Amino acid sequence: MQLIEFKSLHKKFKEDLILENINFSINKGEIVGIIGPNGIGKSTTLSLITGLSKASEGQVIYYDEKDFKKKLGYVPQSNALYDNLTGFDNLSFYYDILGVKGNKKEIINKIGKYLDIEKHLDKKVSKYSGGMKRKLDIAAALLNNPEILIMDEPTAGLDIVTRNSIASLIKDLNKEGKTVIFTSHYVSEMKNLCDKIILLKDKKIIFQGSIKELNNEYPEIKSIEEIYLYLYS
Amino acid sequence: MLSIFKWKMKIFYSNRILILILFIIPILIFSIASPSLKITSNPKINVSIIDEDKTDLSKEYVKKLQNDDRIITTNLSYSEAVKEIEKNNISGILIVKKGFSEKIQEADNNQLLELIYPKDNYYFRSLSDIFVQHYFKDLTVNRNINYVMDNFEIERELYEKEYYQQYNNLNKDLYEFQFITREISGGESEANLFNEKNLLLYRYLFGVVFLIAYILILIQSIETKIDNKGIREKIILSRVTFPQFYLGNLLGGVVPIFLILVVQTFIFSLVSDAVFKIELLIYILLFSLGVGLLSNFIVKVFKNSRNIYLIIPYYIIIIWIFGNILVNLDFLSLVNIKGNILPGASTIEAITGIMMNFNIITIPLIVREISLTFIMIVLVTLMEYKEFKNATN
Repeated sequence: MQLIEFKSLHKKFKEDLILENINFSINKGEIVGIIGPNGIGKSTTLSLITGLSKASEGQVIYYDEKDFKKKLGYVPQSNALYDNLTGFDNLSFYYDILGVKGNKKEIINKIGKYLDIEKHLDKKVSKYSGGMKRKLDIAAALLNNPEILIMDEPTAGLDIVTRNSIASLIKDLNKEGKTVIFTSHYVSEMKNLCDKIILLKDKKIIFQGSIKELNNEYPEIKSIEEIYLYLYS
Repeated sequence: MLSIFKWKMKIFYSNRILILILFIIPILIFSIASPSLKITSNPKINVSIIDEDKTDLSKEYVKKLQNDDRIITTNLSYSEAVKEIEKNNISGILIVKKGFSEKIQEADNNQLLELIYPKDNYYFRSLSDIFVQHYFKDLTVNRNINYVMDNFEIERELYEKEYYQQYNNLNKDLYEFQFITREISGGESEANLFNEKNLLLYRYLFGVVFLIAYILILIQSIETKIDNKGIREKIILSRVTFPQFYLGNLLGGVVPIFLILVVQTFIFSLVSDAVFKIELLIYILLFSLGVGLLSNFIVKVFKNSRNIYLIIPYYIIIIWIFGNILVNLDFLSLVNIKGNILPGASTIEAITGIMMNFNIITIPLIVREISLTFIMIVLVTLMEYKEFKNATN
């Protein structure tokens, strides 16, 4: 079942063209990875999906537009946390502005437990490690039990252990029926995770499909990491 | 709106050290200074008046002084009055000089009055304003009206109206009357002085306290600003609308400052002779709103600065030039502006006045404050809206 579709989409910032003729669709229950080096337009693509940005030309079609915002969980690129407050207070703020129903304490503790940060919720965020902050950010996005989870570089700057733990989390969330769309420049973590990957280069999509399809397109290259290097170097 | 407000309040109170400084330092200043602020004796000035002129005009003038609440007048001869000064029973002698009435009629302002006071009583000289300000204004206006009436055919009512207006605007002229001042050796007159010293101290202390408030509200605005793109994006994607976000953000900055200042002024009233009245709340709210908006504005202007804290020294200079809070540098007179043009500064005058039981609240003062606050509201709303809109481009 189709969820979102980009049709002949162009995005400009003032006079600069950022994205050109973008066409792709995302189905319900998929894990979609948008890949490319820094500054290629990955975050812009995500902000077009969330509606934070508007297309300059073309359109974004939401097949289930009713209450689309309410179904979204969003993890921005920079940590959306206030360091002087505790983890619990940060989650409590998002609980309030998202209009989540149910017992606040119970919901926050449950999500904390799910992400393995429950014990740290009463500490100030300034004392959190980078990985814990990222998990807290994801926890904030999960408060309203979203159907679609959009994450902008969720693993950027993290050590390999934390990156793996976030990758497993994405898998678990997907098993629960959530559609996950995320950006990354760590191509190796997409390998066993994504149903679909979208490769951006020179403002355009140069590939979209499964990892298998990507491998088939470049049969002479052994690994996905090498394909990435071949495409972007 | 409530969730944004609650969040801002939490951020505000999470910075314990800043709250401690914001709250404790002004109270400490007042507590340390409070012993010298207590009015220990009769706050009125005790003066012996000698009318050498003995005309209707001089008698009228003496009568007005006798009716003034701030002055206790006695009727003694010169030698008796000097003895009373030595005994510390009176602060000085005011002589209405012979020819007083005649000189007034001739528009000659020289040597109308003579003030005699003990050498160490330097406050007495500054109090000469009390003898001039109110009475000579009427005399001057009448004198000029009479003069014009005698020489020209002009409608009196219209002329009076114009003259009153003119003299209301030109208070400075009223101080041009010249006294003869003479110091004599005598007793120390500290005990029975009018509380001019306290007035001055109060003004300076309030000046310092509110200057600290200005700076700390700015620091607090820097600390609680939502400059994190992620937080802003998440707020936009939530159920919060722009008006809710704007109001929550504004109130979240203003209310904590308001509460702190209310508690502070209440404590000041306990440790000193300052009075706490309910109407103070309105002025403190207006002050918090004005300064909160100003800080918000400054933070938005300098949001891209690498170290936004570097603006603080410049901010103090701006307060000095445009606020006239501690020192009246009178820069604004160069561009023909009287008073201050800094949000919050006019309300400091009003708050200080109310706490000292001294009525200095005027309509222009309130109008100026409300106008400045309104300008700030417009500017900050536009800037906030632009930021909110930019995130959704």
